[in-house]
Amino acid sequence: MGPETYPAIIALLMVVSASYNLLVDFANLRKLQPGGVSSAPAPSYIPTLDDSAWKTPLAVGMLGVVYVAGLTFVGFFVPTFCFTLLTMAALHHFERRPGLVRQTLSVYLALSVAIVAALVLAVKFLRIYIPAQTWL
Amino acid sequence: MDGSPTAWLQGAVMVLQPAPFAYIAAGTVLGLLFGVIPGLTAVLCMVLLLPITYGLAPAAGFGLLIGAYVGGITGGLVSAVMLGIPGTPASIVTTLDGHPMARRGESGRALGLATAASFYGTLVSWLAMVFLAPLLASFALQIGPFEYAAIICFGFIIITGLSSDNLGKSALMVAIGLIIPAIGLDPLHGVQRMTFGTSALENGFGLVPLLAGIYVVSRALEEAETIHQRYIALPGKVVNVLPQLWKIFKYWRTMISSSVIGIVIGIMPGIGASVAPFMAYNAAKRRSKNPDAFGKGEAEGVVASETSNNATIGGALIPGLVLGIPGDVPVVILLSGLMLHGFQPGPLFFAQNQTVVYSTYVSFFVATMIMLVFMLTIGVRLFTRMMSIPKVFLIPVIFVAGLLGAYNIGYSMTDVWISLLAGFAGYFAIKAQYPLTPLVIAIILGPMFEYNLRVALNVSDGSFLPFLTQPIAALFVVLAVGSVAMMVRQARGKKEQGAAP
Repeated sequence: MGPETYPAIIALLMVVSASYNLLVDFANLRKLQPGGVSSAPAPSYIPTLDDSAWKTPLAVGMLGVVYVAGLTFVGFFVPTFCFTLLTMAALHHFERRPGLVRQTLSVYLALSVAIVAALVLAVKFLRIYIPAQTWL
Repeated sequence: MDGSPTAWLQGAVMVLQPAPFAYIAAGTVLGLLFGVIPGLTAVLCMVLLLPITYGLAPAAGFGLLIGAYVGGITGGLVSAVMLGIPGTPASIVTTLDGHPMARRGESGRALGLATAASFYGTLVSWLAMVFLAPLLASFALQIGPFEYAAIICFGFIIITGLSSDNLGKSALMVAIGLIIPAIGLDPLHGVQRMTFGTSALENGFGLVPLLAGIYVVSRALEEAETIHQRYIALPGKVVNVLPQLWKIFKYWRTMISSSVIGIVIGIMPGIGASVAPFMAYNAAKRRSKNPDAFGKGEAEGVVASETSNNATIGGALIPGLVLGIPGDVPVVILLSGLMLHGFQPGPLFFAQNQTVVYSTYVSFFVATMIMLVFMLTIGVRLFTRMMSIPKVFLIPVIFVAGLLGAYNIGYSMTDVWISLLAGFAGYFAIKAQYPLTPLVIAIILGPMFEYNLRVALNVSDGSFLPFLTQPIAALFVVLAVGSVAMMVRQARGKKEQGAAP
């Protein structure tokens, strides 16, 4: 067995099992009644989160992305210190006022998009050197 | 008891020095703390400690991890009794009787019995490990690549069948777990595979960043869902803890049967401390003269659950140390610790590194004793107060510790990004009910499986026939095929039951 054969067999196994899961999920999806409740289990690719629960993990995850970007571009201490305190403060607010999560998330989203766009522009058009520019 | 006195002595000398002893004690207490706080687990604690072991001597590093393993499995009993919420999945069954006992004012008795049961369960499994591991090792030295590949393949099938109700999802996770370590350099010829021309992927994905992402980051995100949840322990003084250490012998039959169940379940790959208590509890209930009392505060239920979940530790370590096949996820972390120190888990490791093996035996015993002494002296009372640490503080600290641990191994930001992405993927997998255990076990066993399979096929000039002609390999192939047939039949049975009106 050559070096490429083994991963090819595993990849085939992945395709077969993923296709099987998709078939099962689509079969379940067809059984779901519009607006009603079905006895069929929910498709596996639909996360089993209720509306109120998914926003806080998303906020923590987005803060995490900004934190790791900070580690990459800025350094260690400032991002770690800021991330830890900011996340604690944000979670403390979310704990007391769940409605705040949505507004904060939209701010993070807009901010993240703006930062990424600015980085791409800076590297591609203004030719500004950024240590990780090979990634962009 | 196998093993020369010299090997035992060398193992003891390595462990019973101030630094390794302090690391075992620290690991045990940290493990207990992680076990006590609902949502934090032994695995999480071990993954966070894994990067620290990199800079330590093997005895100290493995001692730290084994301490965290013993402590993490045990700690869950405190919150199971005092909150009615299991601190770890291993303590789910303890809540059924432990919490009702606490509600009627017997919290000290419940905590004492649970601690004593955990201690005796761990001790019996330690004895089983010390007796059985050398026997299995002498057998393991006689097996070649055909047999080893067949055994690992059988392990994958068992994991697929037992880790989730959905075979398709488990199989997909095993496949993903096999493809991940195939990225990078090929183990036989050194050819680059699936690197897409990126230098960052030349050495493949690091084990620690993946584990940190899958277990730490995803856990932090999952805990963030229940940020509003507050844990408040039952009021009242915890008394009458210590006498349960000998009063527990009233339930000696349950202790023996639960220990055996725990050890056997621990040996089987992919399932462990979360499954054994259910089986031990049902066995104790069936045997009891008063089965109706179970679930309403029956002390025997607490004993069955806690004895069996701790007995899985020694059971899971047997195939882990001897064959390199982990019986439970914490053993995966332990084997990762071995790999970080340059050891290759498997039969040769057991034969050629007797001092490390025996120091692991001694560390396990020392951690068990520390767990008992700490819990019975200050642990039970201290942890009862510490259960209510707000998640607001825990989540950011765990998140940062996980990512920095990933960075600490190779000082590479790529590892941190991999960790973060693995965390998001792991979180989505949890939400979509894809099991993580088969994924992680396949990541660990994948390189061993590929190496043995390809060496075997090179020996036989590409023929698969020796898998059927060599007796041990054939036995495991037959077992694997039989297991697949049984799983498919069970899945069809469930489907038909579900379809029936």
